[in-house]
Amino acid sequence: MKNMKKWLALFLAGTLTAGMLAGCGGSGDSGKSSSEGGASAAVSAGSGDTEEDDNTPDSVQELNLIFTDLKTLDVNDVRNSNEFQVLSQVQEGLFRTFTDEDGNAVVENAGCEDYTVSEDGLTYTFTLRDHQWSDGQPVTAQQYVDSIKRLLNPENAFAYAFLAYDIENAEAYYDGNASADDIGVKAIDDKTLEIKLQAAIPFFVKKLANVCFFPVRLDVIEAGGESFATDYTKQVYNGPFVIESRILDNEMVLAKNESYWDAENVQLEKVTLKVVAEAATQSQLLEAKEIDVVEAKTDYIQKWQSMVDQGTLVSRSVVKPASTYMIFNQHTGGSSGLMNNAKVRLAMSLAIDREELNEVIYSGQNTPAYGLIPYNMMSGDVEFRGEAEEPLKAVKEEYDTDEKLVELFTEGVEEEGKTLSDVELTILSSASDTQNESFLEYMRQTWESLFGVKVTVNICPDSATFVAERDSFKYDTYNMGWNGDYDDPMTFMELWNTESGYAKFMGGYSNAEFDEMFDSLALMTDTAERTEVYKEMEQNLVAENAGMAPLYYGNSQFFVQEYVKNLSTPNFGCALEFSRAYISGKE
Amino acid sequence: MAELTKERFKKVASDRFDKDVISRPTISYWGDAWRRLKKNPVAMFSLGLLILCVIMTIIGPYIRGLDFVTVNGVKKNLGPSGEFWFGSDSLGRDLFSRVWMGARVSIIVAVVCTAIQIIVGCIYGGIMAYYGGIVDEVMMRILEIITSMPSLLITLLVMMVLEKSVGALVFAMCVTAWCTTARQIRGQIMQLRESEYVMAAECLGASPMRIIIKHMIPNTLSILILNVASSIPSYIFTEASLSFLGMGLDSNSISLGVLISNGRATMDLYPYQLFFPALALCIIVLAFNLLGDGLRDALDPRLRQ
Amino acid sequence: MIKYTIRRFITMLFTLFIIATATFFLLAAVPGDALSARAERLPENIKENLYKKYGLDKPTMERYVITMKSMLHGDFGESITYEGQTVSSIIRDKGPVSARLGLQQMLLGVSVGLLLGVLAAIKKGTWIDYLVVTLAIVFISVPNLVFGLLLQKVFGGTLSWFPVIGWPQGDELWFGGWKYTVLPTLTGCFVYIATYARLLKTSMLDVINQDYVLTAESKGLTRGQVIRRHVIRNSFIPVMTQLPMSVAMCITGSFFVENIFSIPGLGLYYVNAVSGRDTSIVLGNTVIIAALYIIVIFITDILYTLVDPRIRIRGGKK
Repeated sequence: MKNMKKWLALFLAGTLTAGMLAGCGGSGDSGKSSSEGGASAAVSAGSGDTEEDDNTPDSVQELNLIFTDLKTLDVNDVRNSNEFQVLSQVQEGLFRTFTDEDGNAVVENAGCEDYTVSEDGLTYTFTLRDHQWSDGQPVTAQQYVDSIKRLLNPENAFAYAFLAYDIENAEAYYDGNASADDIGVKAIDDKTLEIKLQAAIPFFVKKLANVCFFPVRLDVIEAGGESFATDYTKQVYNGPFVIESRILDNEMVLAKNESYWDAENVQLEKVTLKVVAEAATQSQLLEAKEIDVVEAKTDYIQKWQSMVDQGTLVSRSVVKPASTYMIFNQHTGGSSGLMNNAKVRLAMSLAIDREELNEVIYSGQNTPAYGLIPYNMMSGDVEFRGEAEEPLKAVKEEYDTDEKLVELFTEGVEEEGKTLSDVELTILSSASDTQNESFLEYMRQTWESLFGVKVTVNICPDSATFVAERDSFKYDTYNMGWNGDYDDPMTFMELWNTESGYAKFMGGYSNAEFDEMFDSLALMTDTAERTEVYKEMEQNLVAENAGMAPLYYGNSQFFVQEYVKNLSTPNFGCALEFSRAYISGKE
Repeated sequence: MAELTKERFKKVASDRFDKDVISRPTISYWGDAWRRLKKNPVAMFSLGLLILCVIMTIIGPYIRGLDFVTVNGVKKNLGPSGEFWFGSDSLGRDLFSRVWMGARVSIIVAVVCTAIQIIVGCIYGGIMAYYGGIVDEVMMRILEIITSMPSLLITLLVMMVLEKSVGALVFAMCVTAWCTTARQIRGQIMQLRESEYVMAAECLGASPMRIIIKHMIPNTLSILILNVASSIPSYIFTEASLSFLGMGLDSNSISLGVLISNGRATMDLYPYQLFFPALALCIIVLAFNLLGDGLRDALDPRLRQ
Repeated sequence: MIKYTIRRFITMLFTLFIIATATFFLLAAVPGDALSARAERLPENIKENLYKKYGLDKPTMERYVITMKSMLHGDFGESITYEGQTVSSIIRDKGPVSARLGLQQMLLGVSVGLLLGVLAAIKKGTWIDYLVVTLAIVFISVPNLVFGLLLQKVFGGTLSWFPVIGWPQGDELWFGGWKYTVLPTLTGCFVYIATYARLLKTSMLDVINQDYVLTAESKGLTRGQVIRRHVIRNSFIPVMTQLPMSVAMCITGSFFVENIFSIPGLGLYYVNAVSGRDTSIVLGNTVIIAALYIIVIFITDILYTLVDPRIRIRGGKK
């Protein structure tokens, strides 16, 4: 049974990989292949029609979803997945990602009609589509320029400012060493946008699909004043939908944007997003057909799966570019004083039975991880995980018995001048849902029973307390997950560089060899060469130094009512792309 | 007719104090209360139930001899059976043992909190009502400040400041609760103060402390017992609510609140994970309430027979 | 009377000032601040700019002075979580929702509770008494949250008599949309029923045993007359002490009920603001709730004198 699931996961990962190759591979090279992507989407939509004839849309086109309310409606200020979800549907940038019937990503041109890249890979020129905002004003190249400059303005302190650092002089401007005019982005005319890069980055276009690069209207922002970011009445939209009403922290209603350039392909008239806190309530609503899509909650998977078998629900698995791992406190060595010892870290990492963890705590929903980079992540044209064996697997074979692990751990403890009986490890945690508490209990017992040391779990009531405890280094280890921001291993690798702004949250991992390899990537444009460096970096981080302990790669599973057709579930950006979805056969 | 002779008369001892001798055995106030409580079947039943519950919280976790702490992935979410009487939880641990372990923690926390609330509340309320005037005014202001702040806010903030532990939990829950008792006691005593027997005691030169302890407190007992009866369940609930908010005890502790909070997420799938802890809680609360009701009748001096 | 009112008003302002100060420093003592969750994963330089932007880089005392100054002008400041939202906009949007929910629960709960309480007291020792007491105890013994989820599952899900979630909006904010309010009202009202039934029963039994009731009975009044004229009136004093607490409780909003039924009320928002360390919102809400509460207490004190002629208002003319 256990093996079955594992094989299934591998199989799934494999098929999705192939999809990525077909759908996404071209977008980095030239505009031409990206428009081919558009053609393939049309084909897949067509094949859907021939399959079932009764797929005619209902007269009522309404979609009901659950969500957490947005903290901001400002595209430059996006922070969390809920903001990506809604803003990507009411606003539009250069590209839009759909998935076909098999879940393969299809990148289509949206705000841009075409783009070219110069020989040296440094200059990108985008030709914009002739389309307009919901107030009738045209979308211009200058609005994209304004957006990037606003994103990078240090006074605004936008979370995703770092994504634009690849642009010429962007980082210098953020740090106050250049002026806004030096940033390598300009509007050649109303419909032509030119972006110059600091160094040739093969995956730059993938980054540009992020919501934070969407065009902004400075006149509207100024008119909106202080409440611009939360007052929906002060917004203008250029995406498939507009926000029609909103009750803070409770409900948001989207309506079709009639002035959207592709309005004829948008069939939904109304989308209602509701805040529903209790899992039991979500399940009630799903059964009553009052919500149409729900993301799997571990405990309910079996129940919903049975509804899939009855044909009322459709299940959709998405391999997320997400990796979850344990951080070791290498800032201070942790409250136990042991975390600067690589042997201790490695022993702790190897002590975790990742297969069992995934089965017991997560009902087999995720994929056990023996490396940092998740499946389905592209490095140039190849799927990285397909090229690189997970580093921890080989080490695990070397230390295949409990005795060897205990020996390794004891050795490390003695090197730090401590005795095993005095060791006390502290696990820090913030979220306190049942699943996470179960996870912590599992980890506590794992280490306690194997090494015979005392392990305490410190669960902070909320993230603010957690941050305070973390920043005062009162922990040995904590678990954290990271979602890739763009489709390249770099999105994970850059976290562990000593100079990185994130180093602090990654336990302060600092390794000269790792940094050297990281620096060498800056001038490397050949993707095959980069893949090799990524492999070595991962080996260095996960196996040689055990700077962190991988746990699992996160998968999402969506349960969708069978009457919702043509819903896309891309693995970057928003979770659900519903601009082309429609309702067919709901009574 | 029979002749009345002197011999036929016998002198009966006629001590002049004889009139004052109490012919029936003296029954103290508490003895009488106990006697009346024994006559109340519902109260005795709940007392028995409560004693049983207490015994179970002591030995219950060990009856099955199962490990109720260690995670056992193979046996998770099993329904009630011969092995697991109440089923197993989401980490494969025996729910029967955990329920009694949880009941132990919950009862201890609730009883300690209630005791603190009653003691502090009585002293505060008694002083306030007895002295009146400026003392009452000042103490009332302090009370007003505490009670005007939403108690949930104070509890949350206190829990955030303190480390998670049973002590912190008790403190956080008591920090505002005694105000209600103080207020009720004050209200009741304000009424009593106007009564004749207190005036009489004052005239006889009884000290304020004596009047509070001898007259006022016993006369407010019915309110107090009602207070205890409703406080214990409310503390158990507050503890549970804090668990729902993630501010209660941490995952290493087992309490009814934590168990119910864990069970409610999956009540559609594994109803027994919610049912058994909730049932245990209901029974304990019910027993406390019924006993409280019986005690109220038994202790009320006005119902003395 | 007027002098008394003015004095109470001045003490209220003083009380509110202390409450605001206490809340501010308690919040400051809590580890973490309004931005820490947001800055949890931000690079250091972006984080610095963020703190500068919201003025949270200043020392606590300086922020306290700034907050108090703007509060004097009736301005509680802006939410950090939801930029541009103010205390007044949140109270305006969410206050009526919580108020209606709370009042509905309380009106239903208190009236049913009092009725049952009278019934149990009059019929003491009969099966009616036992039934009422047992019901009250059973209802008070089930946690609110569990009860709400059960009602939702049975009447919302299985039987589909009422909507599973939601709350009337717009024109129906105060009246109408009753089907949405049935389950949340039921969930919350049992606490009131149980509390008031027991409270009134206890207090009525106390009064029935008083001498003046015996006197009244010996005068030849019928049982109904005695109950109406003497017992009810006098046994309402504990109820009067409890009522303001209930009003305060119902205005604060009920977090759990709002959470289960997705009701856009104050209770839910308030708890989220506390855990989000949204100081201005927490401070503003606390002060407003406290002010309401104090006013309610004042009204109760007036009511006292009306119900019980033995208690006079102190501080006024003797």
